[in-house]
Amino acid sequence: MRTVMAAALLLACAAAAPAGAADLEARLAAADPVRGKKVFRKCAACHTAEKGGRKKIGPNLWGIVGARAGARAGFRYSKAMKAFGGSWTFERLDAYLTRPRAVVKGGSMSFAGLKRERDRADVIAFLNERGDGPAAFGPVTPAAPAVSGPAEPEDFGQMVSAPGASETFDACTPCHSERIVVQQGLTREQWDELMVWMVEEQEMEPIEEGALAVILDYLAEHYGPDRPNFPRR
Amino acid sequence: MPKDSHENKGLYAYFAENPDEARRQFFEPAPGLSRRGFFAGAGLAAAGGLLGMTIPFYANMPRGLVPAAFASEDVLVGKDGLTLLNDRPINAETPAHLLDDAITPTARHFIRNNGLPPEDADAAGWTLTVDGLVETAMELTIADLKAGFEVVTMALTIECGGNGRAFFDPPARGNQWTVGAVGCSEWTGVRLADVLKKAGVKPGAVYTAHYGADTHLSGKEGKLPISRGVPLAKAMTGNVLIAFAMNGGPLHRQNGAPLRLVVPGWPGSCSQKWLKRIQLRDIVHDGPKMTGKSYRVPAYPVAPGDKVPTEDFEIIERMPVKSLVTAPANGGAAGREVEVRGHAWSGDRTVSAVDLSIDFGKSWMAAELDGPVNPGAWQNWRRTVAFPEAGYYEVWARATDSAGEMQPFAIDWNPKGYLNNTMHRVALRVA
Repeated sequence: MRTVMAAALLLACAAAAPAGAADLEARLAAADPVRGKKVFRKCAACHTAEKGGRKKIGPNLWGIVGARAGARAGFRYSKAMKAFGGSWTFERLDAYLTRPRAVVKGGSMSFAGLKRERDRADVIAFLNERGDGPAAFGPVTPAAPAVSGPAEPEDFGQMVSAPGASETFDACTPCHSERIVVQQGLTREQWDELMVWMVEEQEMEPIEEGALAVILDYLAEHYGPDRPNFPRR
Repeated sequence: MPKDSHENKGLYAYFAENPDEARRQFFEPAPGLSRRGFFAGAGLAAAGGLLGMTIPFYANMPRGLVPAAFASEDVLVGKDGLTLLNDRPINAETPAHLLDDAITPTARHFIRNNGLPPEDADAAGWTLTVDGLVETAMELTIADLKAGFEVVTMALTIECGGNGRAFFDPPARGNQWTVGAVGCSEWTGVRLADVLKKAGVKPGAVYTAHYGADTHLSGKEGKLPISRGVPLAKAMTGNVLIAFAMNGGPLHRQNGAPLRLVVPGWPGSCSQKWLKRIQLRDIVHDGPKMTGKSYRVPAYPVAPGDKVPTEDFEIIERMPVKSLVTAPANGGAAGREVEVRGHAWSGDRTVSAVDLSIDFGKSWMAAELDGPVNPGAWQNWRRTVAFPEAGYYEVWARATDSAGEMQPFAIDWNPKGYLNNTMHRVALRVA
């Protein structure tokens, strides 16, 4: 536990946030699982969360809160995750989701992490409900008005904020940064080919057709051959 | 906390060098302090050491607050002035004017990653396996390499196959490198040829296969981000090194610490980083990024935008003749006389001439050109140029190599955006 605490604190440092572990209980008490479901879209490229859901690149997450780490039957974990061991306490989930590869050194999850405390708390609240015996951590409705401020704009990094940005960001950034996306200038057909390559050779989960069309429209419009949004133009 | 070796370094540099010790010192509370009190008390005073100065009001700093100086997460720790193209995986190039040194400092050497560097890059426990079509398969530590083979230091040019891709029209997909995905550092290591000779090359071996410890972006266990190789004849060249030192110091983590290949003059991807294994094969290696269109160009000239069948692509071997103007910087102001200088290189060849033009290529003047300090090193050149009157000029540089090949004006377009060796142009406002 000592290592984990140290790691959690390190993460707080890296993320430039006030130390997270200290007020995690309060954040969870105020967390919003409905919003957490939206945050989970960032995870859905690699994980399912429903009961009996299939494994993807990552394991199914039904009942993950409180479960033993690295112990899902039928999933091949990294040595690092097996060695991590123990169980997924709220504290550990919060630390891990901040910056996965700093907490489980050499682990497989290449996801960059959720830098916002609120995103982490909300997604943990969402995951907590996706299990047979959710743990109680206070009222689900935010009691403290401080947490429910004006809606935060979604953060797409360097990507243009426009219809389709959310779907595109969530499909692409679990594995790599959006910075490589915004450097490109491709036709819709070329973007489509790139998606096929991602699935066939780079382990991306196939995207269902409706969402794929939204993503391709967004990419072709904003990252086409005339490079209207080329970062260094 | 001791204030010896790291008091003037940044927090991230300190963490990069010795993360476990850094964690222990920073985050394990002194006896009697609560665990939540990190950066309070002793921890915060220690932070002052890393800032290079004391924090006079540290006692007032709220618990848990991180000094703002440490707030931004710098992915380019230990690098100086590089342009970040991508942060996951990390890819960064060096602006031309920061490549002015004859030997590229470690802090100025570009970074090209396909996957994620290994978390554990401890030199002490590192091993290199040499197997495949060899008489005796070997597993060597870095100490074994140093003890068992002649250790050599050479200045060697590494250029990314996609350097210059940003200027392709229509655009080619991938990182949009401009001119700075090239460097010539001093690498210390042992010759790959010596190691292969010791292992004993079996008849039938034609190609090497290189494997590193970096991991695939998808996180899929066992999936390799990149594994390339070279023909056996290239591997047996005397300037292909298994390197464990860079510019007399450790390799930068992003440049492959603790062990990498350096294959000068060929696409940088041949120079496998975080090197774990070299296998000799009886076929052209077919690892990730060897096949399809990766690091390949059409076997014949194509028009910009042409579609080319995959089977018509050939593996890139040597990189073409090229030069770079490193001074003056592009777009700067200059007097009526200025020293123009830079580097020139040509894979597996030498550069025989560098010519400069200040009149958009109408007339050319020869630059003074040094020979390479060793085979595989770039060559430095310079010339004082006089401008007839004030105004806007461009200095163009054009290298010619020992085979008589010269840099072209226009890009030899190819679908994946490789091998752009067009002339480097630097704008000057002459007063």
